[in-house]
Amino acid sequence: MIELTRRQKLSGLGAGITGLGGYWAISGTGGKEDVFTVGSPWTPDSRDPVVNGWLWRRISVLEPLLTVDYDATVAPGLATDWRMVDDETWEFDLREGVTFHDGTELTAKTVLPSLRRAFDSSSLASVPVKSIETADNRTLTMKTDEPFSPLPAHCTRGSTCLVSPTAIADDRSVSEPIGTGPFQFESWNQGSSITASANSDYHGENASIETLVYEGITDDQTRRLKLENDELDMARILPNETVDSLELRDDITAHTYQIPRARYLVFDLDSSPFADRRVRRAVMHAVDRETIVENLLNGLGSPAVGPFPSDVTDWAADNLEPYEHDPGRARDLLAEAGWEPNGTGRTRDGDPLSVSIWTYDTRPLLPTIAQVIQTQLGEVGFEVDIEVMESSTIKERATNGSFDAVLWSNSVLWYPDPDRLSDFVHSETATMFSGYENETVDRLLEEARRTTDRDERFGRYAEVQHILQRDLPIGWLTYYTNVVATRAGVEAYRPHPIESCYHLENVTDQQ
Amino acid sequence: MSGPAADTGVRQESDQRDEWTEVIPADRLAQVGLGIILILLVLAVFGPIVSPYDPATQDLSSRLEAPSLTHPLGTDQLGRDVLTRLLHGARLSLGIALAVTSVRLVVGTAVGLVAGYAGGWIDEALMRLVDTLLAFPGIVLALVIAGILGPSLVNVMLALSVVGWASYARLVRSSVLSVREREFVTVARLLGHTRTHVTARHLIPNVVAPVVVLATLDIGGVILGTAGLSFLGLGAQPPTPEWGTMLASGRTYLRQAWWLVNAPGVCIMFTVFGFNLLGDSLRDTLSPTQSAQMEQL
Repeated sequence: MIELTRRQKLSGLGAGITGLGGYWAISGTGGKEDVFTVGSPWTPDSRDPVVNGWLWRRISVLEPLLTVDYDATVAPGLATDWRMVDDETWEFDLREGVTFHDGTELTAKTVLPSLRRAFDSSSLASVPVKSIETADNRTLTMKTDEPFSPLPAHCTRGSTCLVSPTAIADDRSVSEPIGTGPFQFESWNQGSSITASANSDYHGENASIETLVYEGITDDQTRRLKLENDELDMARILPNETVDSLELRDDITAHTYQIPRARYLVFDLDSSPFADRRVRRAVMHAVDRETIVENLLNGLGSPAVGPFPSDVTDWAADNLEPYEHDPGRARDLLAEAGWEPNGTGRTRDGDPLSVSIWTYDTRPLLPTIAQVIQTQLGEVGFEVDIEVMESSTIKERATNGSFDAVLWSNSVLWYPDPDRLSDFVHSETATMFSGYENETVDRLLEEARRTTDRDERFGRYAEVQHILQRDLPIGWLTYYTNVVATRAGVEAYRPHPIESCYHLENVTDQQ
Repeated sequence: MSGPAADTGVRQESDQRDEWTEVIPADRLAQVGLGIILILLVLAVFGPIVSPYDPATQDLSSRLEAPSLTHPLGTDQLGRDVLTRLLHGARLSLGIALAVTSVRLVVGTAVGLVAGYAGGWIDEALMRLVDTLLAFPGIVLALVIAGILGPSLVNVMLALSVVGWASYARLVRSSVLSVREREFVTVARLLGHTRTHVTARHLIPNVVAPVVVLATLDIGGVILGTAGLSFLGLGAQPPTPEWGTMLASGRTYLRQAWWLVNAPGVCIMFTVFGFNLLGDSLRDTLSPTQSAQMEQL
């Protein structure tokens, strides 16, 4: 017991010092030559493109058939051109003069194993690709089960990144990321870091950085400290509050840019009180999103109107009517729905108007925002509990049972096609758990998937957005602004809205 | 088992009473520990009454303000007064610690008495259960239990109670084993007293002292455990002002607002320190002869 006791005493001190702990910067390693180090919250867990391709793509080791432009549209990649031949057939022209890092030439034949493997995998299961064939040495033909206009957008996804046929074993496993990018894989520590070197045979302009080190650092304070300590040249996804103090420093530049990601409330449409649309509307009128942006997000970002931020993408519907902050209107709506004031709260037939908001803390601001919403909803008579859980637990519990509301954050355009809305509200394919069922919405989404005409598609997606604004299965709260900071001397960095690639091959580092 | 010092572990109730009064003034460290605990108790009881602020009321216009005369420990990310939240947190932490320790003490003592007095297969079964519990690192087991039950303060208390009683059972059983063979117990039984009477009159008084010492030492651990589990998000839910939760949510603002993490951190440290000082001194002073026995816990 004595020993345990001493340990207890020590760990008691330890807990107290935790507060002070992070305060002292981690000791620097210093002295680095031509090495560019970037720190991000995501750890490299696999070398398989189907699993972790998005990460290898971000650091430009792997490349997919198509890429995403800075205006969030599909752009040429390893395929220079693509077209729909008939309703269910697509052709892709491959780029000339591309070799994989192992010297294999990129031809229709050599990309086939990698591409087939990707579209057979579970991560692309929702994409109805029937077959992939070679038309000739430079042309690929892809057939789909049904007319599917988002196909090019799915061909930009990290999991479709192409690896050399030599990297694919007989059992179709991939052991090394041999791609075509401006950087080639050197070594890695699974779960923590990757080292890559410039690829002198790159088909585009060669990178100026010679050695690229990627570090997966989960904790944002650690990323920040490492940047300040010159252990990182670039720290990604820093908390909004850091911008002010980082900007005071001469040796660090902070980049802020809006991304198509939103924070939103998913309502359970199958249980009281949010089965009633008036109650959902009351929530949206009660929440002051301006205040959240101004105070909690440090003015970075903007209140959300619909799913898509119009600053980032053209797919945002015009004239969506925002829900203004209007507690009076919220109270009226609640009274209309039968929730009458009773003491500090409200009741209907003796039931109190009490709801529970579930959220998670891997996005650190969510629990804080939940507390502001709790207070603001309290002002119009809701009694709100907050439960902070693992996001996977929430997903499981909300999918299988009833809940009230979930505060969630997700990309609304992580592949550059508005068909992403299906993931939110299509009655059958939605992964968000509101339980929303609307035949018109389903029909519009399906029609828009079948046509390639942009205007026709836009019309349908706009209509869906207008219906959603009325029905409110999901209440959009705020959009996201990312903060990326670089050391002085890092130049020509241009943040990408979808972040599918950091494009570090364009970046120069003077120091 | 209790080892060579087991027999000397027996003493009469009256002896202990004398020692209790002598212990505390005698030991400087105990005085310090007791002082810290008393100050905390006073703060926990009266602090929230005196404070002009509410621990949950937000004031977004004055968020992350540095310590000043209006907010002696600054404000947090939602503009709430940190000192007020700490004081409310003190109530929570001390309350939980006392509750959990009491549960541990009662359950552990009961199991220990039954095992020690009944012996045989009951003893065997109970002690193997205790062994199993002791073999697990307590905090890890608590983490699993709290994780399964879902995040809430009540579940954390449950989890900590479930994992912590085993050492009490161990201690009580070994004391009982040594006492039950003594003449006065045998005489009591020969006189026809019931088992309940023997237990209440002769066994319990003889195990009280070490159990109280253990409990004092344990309180610090419970406070740490609660804060730790809450820090990991398994305990108090926002906006409850629990120290561990405050520490966790303040961590995001470490560089901008040092007071957010340091204030609850220092509170946890002093509280645990206080209880451990008192517990250590009690153990050393209360019964030097029992020290050897206590060492084995």
